Amino acid sequence: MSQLPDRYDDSELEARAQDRAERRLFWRQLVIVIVIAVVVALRIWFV
Amino acid sequence: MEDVARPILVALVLVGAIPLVAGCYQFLLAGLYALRMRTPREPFYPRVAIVIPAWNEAAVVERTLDRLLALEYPADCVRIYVVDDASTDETPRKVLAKAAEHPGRIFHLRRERGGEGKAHTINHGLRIIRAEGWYEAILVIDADVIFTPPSLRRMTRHLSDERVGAVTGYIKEGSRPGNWMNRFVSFEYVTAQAAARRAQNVLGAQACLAGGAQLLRRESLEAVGGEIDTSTLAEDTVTTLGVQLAGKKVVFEPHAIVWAEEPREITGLWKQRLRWGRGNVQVTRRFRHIWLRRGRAGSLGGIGFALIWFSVFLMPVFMLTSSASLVALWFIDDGESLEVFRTLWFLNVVTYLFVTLSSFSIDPETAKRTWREGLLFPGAISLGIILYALYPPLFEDTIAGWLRDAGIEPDDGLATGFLLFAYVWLSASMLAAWLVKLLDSALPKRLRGLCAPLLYVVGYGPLLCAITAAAYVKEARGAEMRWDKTEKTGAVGELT
Repeated sequence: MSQLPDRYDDSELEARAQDRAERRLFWRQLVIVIVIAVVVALRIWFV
Repeated sequence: MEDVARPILVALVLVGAIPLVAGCYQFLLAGLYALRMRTPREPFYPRVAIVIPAWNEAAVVERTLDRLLALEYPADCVRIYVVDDASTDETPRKVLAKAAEHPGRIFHLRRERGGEGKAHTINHGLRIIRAEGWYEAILVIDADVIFTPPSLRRMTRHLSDERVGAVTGYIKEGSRPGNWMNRFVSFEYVTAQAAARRAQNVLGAQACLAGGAQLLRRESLEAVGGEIDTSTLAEDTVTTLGVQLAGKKVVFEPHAIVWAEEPREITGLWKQRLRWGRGNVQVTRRFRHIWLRRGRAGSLGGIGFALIWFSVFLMPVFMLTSSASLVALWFIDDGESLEVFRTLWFLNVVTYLFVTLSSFSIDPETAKRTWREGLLFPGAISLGIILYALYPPLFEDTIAGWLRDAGIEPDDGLATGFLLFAYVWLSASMLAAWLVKLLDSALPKRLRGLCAPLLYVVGYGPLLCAITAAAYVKEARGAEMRWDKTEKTGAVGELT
């Protein structure tokens, strides 16, 4: 058994890092949605 | 007559858009995960009994046990029970040796009369563990999976919330060096697990605890009868729905990574997925009282969950309906059929871009290995139609110009032929995938790699769809339910 984060602080730090990773994912998803919206708009405009 | 038929046919063509809408909905929900979910802060270490059903797992069982012993979890809070289903290989000797090395941590439970299947094997272990009464939670896993060191504690954290009854982790394909099929499965798992299960967390309704990582609170196991269902081929789904119907939440923990070895060829994948597909048919029938009944089943009975479940379950029906209606519409009004076709496939473009880019963004590490399989998931032919729908002049002008340069005049007959081919491809791709599978099973093992380029052309998505259709047929025929074990070779490397 190694590196057991049995102190509350360690566990909290890890949980916070995971939530930050999830928030980054949210922003990336938002960028993707915007890019696709632009592609759709260009397609409607040009075709 | 035609005036009546036309709008009906248009509506039937657009039935093919239901899985596309469901796909976008699912990935939008996955994107909202960060806003709706919060990782529990406090560590929580209940006493966990790990149950490993094993039949002839000598190639993998020692490594699995070693990795479980290396979990970041208090040693006195974990017991590992290998339930040996009358193995005839070295499994018992290897497990007994490990049990002697780690007394009180590893236990070998032997069934002398085996062959009844995985669920019966798990139940044999559960009866003994429940009689001992030591455990506070049960973790059911497969004999070949590799739990990364923090995975179990990341899963158990959720049990500090009394409302949570079960937790599952993120199963990733771990064969190294993997082949083309492993890469397709890797990408599929990003969409079907990392994304879909995040979405289901947001919805508050999980479809299935991954069979290789099912953590159940003691009370939830008791609530579903203390045993695993043996009457269907989808015992993990029955448990998942049962826990939720008993009033507890089921949660997916995306940061609890578990590596698994998956089939390396089409025939093996077909066998495995046919079992899953038949299980889904049985579950859909068994839980028919919950669909679209929110009052009775909570989030499981919601429209969102039904959309996600049935868009997969009825995919072949949607595809066949859409294709057949397009062709019928072409006979009535070819101009309108082209308009509807372009609309449907433009929705396909949006879904393809959203699902593929989102999957790459959700798991960039997997994307680096599998981006080709991700791009070609629908198949090269469908990708061509997607490009046409995205920008028709590319085909109508540019490629027509290339054909003229090559001395081929793209007349109306050729254009109509291509168009009708594109109309029926939604359904024909399933047939083509089935033919590739037939070829794969007819070829000797050393030549099966020849099927790889064919599957890239036809598509892995259509192959999954064809398997779902085959599952309907098998169930309708009442074919014998057999537990076909997926062959494991220990190809999962030293992944962390």
